[in-house]
Amino acid sequence: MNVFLAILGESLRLLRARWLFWVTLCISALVALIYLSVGFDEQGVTFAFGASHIKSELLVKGSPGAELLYTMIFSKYLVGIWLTLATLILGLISCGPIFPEFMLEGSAGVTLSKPISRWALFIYKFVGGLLFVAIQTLLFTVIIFIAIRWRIGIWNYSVFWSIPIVLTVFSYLFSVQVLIGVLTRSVMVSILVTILLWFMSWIVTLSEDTMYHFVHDKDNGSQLAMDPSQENQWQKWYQMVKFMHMITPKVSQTSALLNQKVVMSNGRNSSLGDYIKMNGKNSELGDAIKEAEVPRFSMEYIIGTSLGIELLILAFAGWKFSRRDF
Amino acid sequence: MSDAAVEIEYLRKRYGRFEALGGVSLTVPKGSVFGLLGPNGAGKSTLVKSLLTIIRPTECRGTLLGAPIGDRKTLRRVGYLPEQARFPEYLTGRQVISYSGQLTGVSNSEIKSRMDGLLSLVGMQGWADKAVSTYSKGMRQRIGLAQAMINTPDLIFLDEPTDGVDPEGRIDIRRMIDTMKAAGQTVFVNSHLLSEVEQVADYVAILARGQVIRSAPMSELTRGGQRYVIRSSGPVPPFVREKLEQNGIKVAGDTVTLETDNVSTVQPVIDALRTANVLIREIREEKPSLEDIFLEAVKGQGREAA
Repeated sequence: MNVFLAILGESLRLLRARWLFWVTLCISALVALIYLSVGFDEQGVTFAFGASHIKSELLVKGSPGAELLYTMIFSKYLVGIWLTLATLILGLISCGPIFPEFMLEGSAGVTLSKPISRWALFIYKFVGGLLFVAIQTLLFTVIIFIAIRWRIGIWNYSVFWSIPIVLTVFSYLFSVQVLIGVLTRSVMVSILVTILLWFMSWIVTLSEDTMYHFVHDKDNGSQLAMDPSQENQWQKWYQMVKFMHMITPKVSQTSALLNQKVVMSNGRNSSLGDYIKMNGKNSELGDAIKEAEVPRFSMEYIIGTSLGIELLILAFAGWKFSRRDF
Repeated sequence: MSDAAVEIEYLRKRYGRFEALGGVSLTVPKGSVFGLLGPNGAGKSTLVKSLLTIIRPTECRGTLLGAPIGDRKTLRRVGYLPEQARFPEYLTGRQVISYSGQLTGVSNSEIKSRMDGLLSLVGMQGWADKAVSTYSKGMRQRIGLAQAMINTPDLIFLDEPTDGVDPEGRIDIRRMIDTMKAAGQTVFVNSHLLSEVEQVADYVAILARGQVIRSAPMSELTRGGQRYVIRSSGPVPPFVREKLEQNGIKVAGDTVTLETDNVSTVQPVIDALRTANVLIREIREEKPSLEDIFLEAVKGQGREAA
């Protein structure tokens, strides 16, 4: 346990020494403060702590619309853009050197000559790397938690789901980065390959979704006219893409789980479809959006298959690390 | 209970077709200062790293502090200063030592109690709370030594400890090695600097091309090849020279050389020179230096790239 704490402490010092860590932390705090600056009063929405004002009957203080909008800004936009995109990229850049630098001549020797198994060392250093995102997300979420209490008047504990979910997403990517780092000892290559895999994961998810609707949505007329042999061929292609999807870490889909997990005081999640319906202008569109928002895959499938792949990647990286001469 | 701190029966390491260590056999007595010599690329660091599990040997039989080589628990009793030690730049010297102690399983209270003594021993009290990034090469080596000693090891490996260190620092490191020896610790010094090893080592092994070509106590190594040299004021007269050469003594100009370690055989030569009124300028005893022994040993083995 002492060894684990020592390595964790050292990882923390490493992060503290990186200017990018502090820059990210400051931006996280700033983004959360901007969120906090949005409020509601008896006439509508206020911005910049009341400096600017937009009138809206739907979004008056204490209304369900205000709660829906405020929760949705967090779960859809702040998490989607800041936490699961910008923070992750900055996390990958900051944590990229952890393994390559450790494996430099003269650096690994001191640690590896200690009575600690290489597997334990590998896992501890991996966990240490996750600290970057854990700290950033924790700070961000705490401010959001306080902001929701201040603006909406409820303690919304479900926002803390963002910590394990963002951490899980980062762990998928970091495992790839660690593997590449162990294999090549190059920081730059490990960052680039990880971002490439991230992009590929997005392409695979998009392809699977598009092909699914193309092949299965016969009733709503989206399927093109195909003869049975063509349809069979498309089914084969879809099965192939589906398999690819299964063995790819589902970065965007795991992030999107936060939409389900962050709920409002009525126990429902914040849906854009609900918001449109609440406006009462386009009920059909609202229903369509709500339907599209329902994920086709269960949380267990999305996280289970992704973690399974992550485990395989880590096992291979750990095996290479444990057998390498330094 | 074995008297050896390290007993290598057989150690072999191959990298593909290249054989870095070809069946090394070596014994390091407990409480001694052991010098492993060899030209660059001889396999010295590979040998040490193999003992410390930093490198996975292709084949290895032997013991380290009585346990099979590779036993992790034994590493609690071992200290290591790697060649060109690189510590995280963001840590302070104190944090480097503390981190090393924690990884070795030393409790925080013990680390705290040993810290100041170690910093004082390596002469880094004034710099302990500054970041490693501000240290010179010599300072890094000093902190490296301190971190290797934080667990008060029974056996300590120093890989090229004086590399890049200024003369004052070298003297300090030699003193530290003496201190460790006095405390009963076994010190294994890896070096290509022969004069450094000569001054501290009790036992020496010479490694070349992955093979141990000489291994013996320092005193035994330097005993062979001892000689006495007598120098006269002006050339030795021909009749004296003839007489000495008849007795197998080398004479060249004003220099008479006797290949012996027995000082009594020198006396008749002095008498003969004095009887012939030869003025003696100098009489000196010469022992082969470690450099001579090393060069002799590696002769015929081929020289690795320096």
